[in-house]
Amino acid sequence: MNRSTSRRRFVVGTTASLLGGGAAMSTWTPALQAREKSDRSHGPIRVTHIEVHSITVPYLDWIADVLNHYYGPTKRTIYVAHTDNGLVGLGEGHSREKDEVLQKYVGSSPWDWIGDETSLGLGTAMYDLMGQAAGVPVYKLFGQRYRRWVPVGCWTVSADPQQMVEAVKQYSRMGYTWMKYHLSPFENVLDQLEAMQRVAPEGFKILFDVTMGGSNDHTFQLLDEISKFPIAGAFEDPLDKDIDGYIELRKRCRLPIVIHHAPLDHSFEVLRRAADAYIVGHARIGDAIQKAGLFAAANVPFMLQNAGGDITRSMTTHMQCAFKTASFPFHSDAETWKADVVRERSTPVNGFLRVSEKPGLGVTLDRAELERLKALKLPEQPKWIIKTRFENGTTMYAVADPKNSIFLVRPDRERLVPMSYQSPLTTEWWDDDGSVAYRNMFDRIVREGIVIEE
Amino acid sequence: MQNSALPDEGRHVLSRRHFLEAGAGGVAAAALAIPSRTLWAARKASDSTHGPLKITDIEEHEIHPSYLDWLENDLNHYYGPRSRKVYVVHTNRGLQGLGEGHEKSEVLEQYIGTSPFDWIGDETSIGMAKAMYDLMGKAAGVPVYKLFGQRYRRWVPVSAWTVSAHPSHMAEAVKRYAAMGYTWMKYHLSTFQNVFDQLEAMEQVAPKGFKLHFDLTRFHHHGHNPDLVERIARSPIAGCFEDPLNPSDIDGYIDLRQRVRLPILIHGSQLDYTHDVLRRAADGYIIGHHKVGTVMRRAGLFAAANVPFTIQWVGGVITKAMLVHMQAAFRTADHHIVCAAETVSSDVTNEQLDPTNGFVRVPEGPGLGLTLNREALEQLKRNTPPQQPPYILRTRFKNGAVMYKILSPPETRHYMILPDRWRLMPQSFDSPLSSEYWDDDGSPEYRAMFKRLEAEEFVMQME
Repeated sequence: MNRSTSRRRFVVGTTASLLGGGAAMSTWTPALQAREKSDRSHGPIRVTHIEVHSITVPYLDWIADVLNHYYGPTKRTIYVAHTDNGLVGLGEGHSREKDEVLQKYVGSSPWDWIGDETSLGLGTAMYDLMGQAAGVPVYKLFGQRYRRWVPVGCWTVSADPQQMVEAVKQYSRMGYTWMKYHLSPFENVLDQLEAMQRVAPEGFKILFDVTMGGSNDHTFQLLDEISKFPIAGAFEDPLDKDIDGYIELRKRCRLPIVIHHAPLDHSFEVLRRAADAYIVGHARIGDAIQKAGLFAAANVPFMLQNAGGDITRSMTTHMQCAFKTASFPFHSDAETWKADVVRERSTPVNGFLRVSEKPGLGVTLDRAELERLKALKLPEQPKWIIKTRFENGTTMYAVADPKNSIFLVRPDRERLVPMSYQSPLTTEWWDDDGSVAYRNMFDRIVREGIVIEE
Repeated sequence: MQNSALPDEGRHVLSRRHFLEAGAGGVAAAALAIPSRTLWAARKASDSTHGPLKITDIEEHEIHPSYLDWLENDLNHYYGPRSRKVYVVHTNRGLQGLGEGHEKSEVLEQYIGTSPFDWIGDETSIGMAKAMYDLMGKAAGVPVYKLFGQRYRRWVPVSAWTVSAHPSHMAEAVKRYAAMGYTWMKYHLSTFQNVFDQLEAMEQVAPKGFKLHFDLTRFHHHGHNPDLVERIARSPIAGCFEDPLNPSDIDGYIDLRQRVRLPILIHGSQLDYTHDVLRRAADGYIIGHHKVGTVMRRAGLFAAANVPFTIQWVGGVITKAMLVHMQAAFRTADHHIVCAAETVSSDVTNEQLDPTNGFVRVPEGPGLGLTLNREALEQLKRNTPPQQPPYILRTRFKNGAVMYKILSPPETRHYMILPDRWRLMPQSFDSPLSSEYWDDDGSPEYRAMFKRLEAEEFVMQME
């Protein structure tokens, strides 16, 4: 039982643990009751083996080009965990867990993984098994239900205004009312906003991820300009580690300030009221439970951002259903893919997902689709040239590498030239067209880092 | 201190200890204990005139007032018909005092055989305290406000009240209440109507100077409460905001006060109107349904802190009269009172205390200044307002999504205001939507949806 959560584990760590302890302790009770129920029905169950599958997931057609240019094709790892009584639990992650991690789960009981602090992907499969064994939906393993419908957002990347318009139109048709994207200094955010505002249905909102700054904008002025648009919804990570700055920004900005990359690991910054809401990204289940306790005590909204497909999305929906203040729209990116390995594809109604009431996660494996996605080979996206024209006639060239996608949102990390999210510019993506001009410019950029010329 | 001189320090008599045991509020309130001196003088005046007074009998009448015609549909769909009890208290000297509320019989029994003056600073019953103060005032030959101390105002601001409804109904409420002499209207925001659509409709008809009191009911708007409040505040008819945040978020209130141009009021004080007042968390406070003795202590703190406040007791004209008297005598009781007496078509007194330009004149007759209308009392006892059967609340979003939920007043009376208690989904006060009451129209569609909702509790779908 070295993996089961002990009281000591709860009280070690930060103030977050201390504050969250009260709420978290009560969160274990439903899971332990479910274990008793399961043991009565099935006897003690054991994980006998775990299938690990690497899949490639195709993007939706309308967004494939931009996401490929940013990231190239996406790969995921699917876990199919089997027990000695014939149950099958599903989990997923980005990269495959190491063998030594997988081995910890084989031979154990799913119930040993209540409040899992080892692997989010495998923890998801364990909760699926626990719910199925106890005959209850996963959210009941976390406690009482706080909402039957959970708000969910969609996600895209910063691209030219017309592409942003397309994203708003497509996603609103799909039932979304909240869209997140990272600002990029290669596009003018105000041009993007003007274009999106024209097509956005009333009530549609944008979450702007400022990725902890990195531009030479004055943050308050930037946020103030953006806030003037009716579709502006909230700002994620507008600052970096500056807790006092956050406190001041909150007071000056009309829209919610959301912290994702919490400098103090969602502890004292929460107590100091640095943000209006928080994002907990890819937290293991036990960590998420503890954080939920703190957020409930502080009465602060939060969401869990775990990128993944419908398995991940289902797990997040269950958790957000049972955590008292998990009322902020969550993101998982599942909406960007046109295929998945489960039969149930969650689609929102008016921006909300209904929580499944079936035992476990409420998703079932589509074995044929799993095999298809395992065999799927998508072309890799080679490096390309990002060509930016300023209104004053200046043109800037840089190389974009899908293996270093952060460059498109935080080019300052390459220490090339200060940039702004509000510069008067437009950008086009120049793929290798076989021309001499392309080859020459590419080689020049490789030599010079970046090219700027009239 | 003056209270220690009182010969009767029974448990219902306000003592120095009572003043001091309520923390900072009690400390600041000590100076305001002066009203007891006024009461002691009144008691002496009464005893010299009548001899010791004793309560001999309490009549208890349950009445069922009808809502005003134009409000009935909305209030019935929220709450169903409402009733309350009227108390007619008799003494051995033939005096008659009026009270109203919802007290249990064992509470009433505590008053029988006592002197009304045993209930100075009553901490037992709001409903009976009204009658006790009415009797004390009549016995001493003074209006009730004089039993609380010196007069700070001769006219007391009063607000009308309604519920959140379709924008056209909100406009109707503004027009009606303005015609009745009100200049303030309070309502609880509801996530089932868009507050900006309501505001637009109301602005078109509101007379100049008419203001709205928005009660956010501590609801966590699925959006950003500070931004919502700031945007509402831009409307020329926006007046103040009640409970825009969770009451435990004192620092949040302090921040919000600094960024919003209109007054922020706290009603549901988590700290019992003590340290939150001292930390200046709000611009004003609402004391809701606290007993008279508690209100007196709170009034002392508010006077010391120079913070406006109001008392909110729901009731009819008897309640309204008591509120007017108290607010006349409490130094910083500047905010408008809310009691909902204006929502019903008739009452049990001959006097109605209608406002002029938003103010009610404080009665100067002995006691509350009211007289019982026996005929009206009997009529309201027999009155049978229409019951509200369960119905479907249908909410249409502009994007085509439609939500359905069965409501069964009065059990679901909080759903329209605090839907989060039903744990269904986060909701906003400014979603692009509007709602309607779908009463049973006998249609197969209604029956099918009702049956589905009985199974699923809540339906949301694209239509």
